[in-house]
Amino acid sequence: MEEREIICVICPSSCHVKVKGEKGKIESIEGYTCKRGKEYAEEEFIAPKRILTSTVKAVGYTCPVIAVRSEKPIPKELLLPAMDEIRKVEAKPPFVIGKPVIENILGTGVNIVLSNC
Amino acid sequence: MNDYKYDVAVIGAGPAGLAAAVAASKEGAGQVVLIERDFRLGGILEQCIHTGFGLKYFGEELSGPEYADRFIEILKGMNIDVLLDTMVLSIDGKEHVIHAANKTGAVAIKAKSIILSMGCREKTRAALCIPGSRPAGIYTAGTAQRLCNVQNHLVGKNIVILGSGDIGMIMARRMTLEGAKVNAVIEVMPYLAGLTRNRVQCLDDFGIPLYLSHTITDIDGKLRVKKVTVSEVDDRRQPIPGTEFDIECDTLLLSVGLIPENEVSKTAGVMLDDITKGPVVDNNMMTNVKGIFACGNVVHVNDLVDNVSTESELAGRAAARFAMANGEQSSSEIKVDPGSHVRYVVPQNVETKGLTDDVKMYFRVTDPMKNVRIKATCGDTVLYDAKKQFVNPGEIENIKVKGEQLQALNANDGNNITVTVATE
Repeated sequence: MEEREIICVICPSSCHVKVKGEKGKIESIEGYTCKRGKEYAEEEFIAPKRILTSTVKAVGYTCPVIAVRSEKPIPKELLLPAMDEIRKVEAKPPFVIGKPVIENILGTGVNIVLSNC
Repeated sequence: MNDYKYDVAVIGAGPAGLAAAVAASKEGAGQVVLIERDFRLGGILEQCIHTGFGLKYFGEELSGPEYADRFIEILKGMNIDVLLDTMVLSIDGKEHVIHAANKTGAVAIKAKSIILSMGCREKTRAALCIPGSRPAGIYTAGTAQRLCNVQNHLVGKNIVILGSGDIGMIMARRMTLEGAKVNAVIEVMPYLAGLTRNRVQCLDDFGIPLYLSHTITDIDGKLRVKKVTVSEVDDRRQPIPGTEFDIECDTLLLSVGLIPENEVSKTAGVMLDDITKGPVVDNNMMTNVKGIFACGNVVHVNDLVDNVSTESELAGRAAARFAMANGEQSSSEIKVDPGSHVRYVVPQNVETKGLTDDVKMYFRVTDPMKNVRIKATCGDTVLYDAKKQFVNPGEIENIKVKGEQLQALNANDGNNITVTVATE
C-alpha cells in the first residue's frame, strides 16, 4: 500500500491531502476541503501530468535557441525522457507559435511545439 | 539630434508597456510610441518560457512568449511606433521630453502623456551583504534564466538557490531539466516567498529540498564558488550559532526579491513610495507629476502578469484621455493608507472627481493569516467589508471599491481611506 501526502495547488489554502492506495487505485483520501481539491489529489495520485517547457536549437533565429512546450500536459515520469528527445532536435524557419518540432513525443499523443516566434 | 512628437510615449515594452500602449491607442490617442531597450518586444516574458501565464486574462495556460505575442499581434495592427534598442536616460517632467539614446545617436521625444513601465530589477548579493569570498558563479536567478533560455548558456552544474521566490523555484526546475543538480533552496522566512504551485511542480517534483528559516552565512571559493555555509535563523531572522552546515556547489543563484527600476522616474520628479519603491499613483495610475503615468512592476511587484495587463490598460486609457484633453484636469484626491496587517496599498491616492468606474485596490498583507476580515473605510463610511479564509504575503490581494461610493466622499474633510486586515 502506498501512502502519499499531496499539497493541493488549486487555491492558496494549500491543503495537505493524504492519499492511500496502490497501482492507480485509491483506498482512502483525507485532508481535502473541497471537490476540486479532491479531484486534483486523485489525479496527482493516479497519473500526475505536467506541461513540459524547454528550448531547442534554432537555425536562422534571432537567438541561438527558441522556446518550446508540450501542447498539453504529459505524464510526470516522462519529463526527463522527453528532455532527451528535445535535445536532439533543431528548429528551422519559419518560426511560428504552435508549429510542431516533435510530433507525438514518446507515444503520448502530445506534440512539442514552438512557443515563441 | 532626432526629435519626435507624440500624444502618448510608453517606456518599456514588457507586459505593462504592451498593454498600456495598446489601450492608449484603442482609447483614441492618435500617435503612440513604445520605447524598448532590448532587441525585441516582450520584456521579461521572453525569457519566462514556462507556462502559467494568462489563466486569468485569457483563460488559457500560456508560456511567457506566447502571452507577450497576444499583445504584440494586436499592437502590430495599430498605429503605434516602436523604437527598439533604445535606452531612455532621463525625462524632463515639466516639458514632458524623454531623452534617450540609440544607434542613431541622441533622441528627444516630446509627449503629452508619458507612461512609465520599466518593470523591476533583481536584488543582488550586494543588497543582502552575504559575507564570504567573491568568486565567480554567483548569479541572480533571472540572469541565469536569460543566459539559459535566450543565450543558451548553462551557468553551472551543481547549484544552490537562495530565496524561494518564483523565479528561483522555476530556475531550480529548469536547471534540473538541463542536467544540473540543484542541491537546495534556502529561504530565510518561515514560509514560501513564491506560489505553492511552484513549490509542488518545481521543487517537490524533482526532490529538491526546501529549507525554510535558513540563510546563507558564508560563501567559499577562490576563482569559482566551492561551497556555501547554511545556518538556521531565529524568529528575528538572525543566524543561530551552532546550526551551520556546508553545501558543496559551483553556483549560487539568488532569488531574493525585486526592486522597481525607477532611476528614470526620479529624473522626472516622480515621487516614490517608501514601501513599494515605486511611484505613488492615483486610481488612474497617474503619478504626482501631471501627465506622467506608471504601471506594472515599476509601481509594485506583482505575482501575476494578468494583473499587470489589467492595471496597465487602466494607465493607457487614462494617459490617452489626458493627452486628448491637452492636460486640463482639476483634482480632488483622497489618500489611501495601509492599516493593520497591510504592508502597502496601490493606488496610494484616489481621484474622486468625476469618478464612475469602480476602483481596484491591490495590497499585500504583513503576515500569513487565517479567517480574516478585509475592510476599507474612510471616516465613518465603510467602502468594503468581506471575509477571506486565507491571506499570505506571497500572494497579492485585491478589493474592488464602488466608484459611486468613492465619488460621494468629501475630499476636504481630512479623512483618508484605510485598508485593514484583522483576524475574525
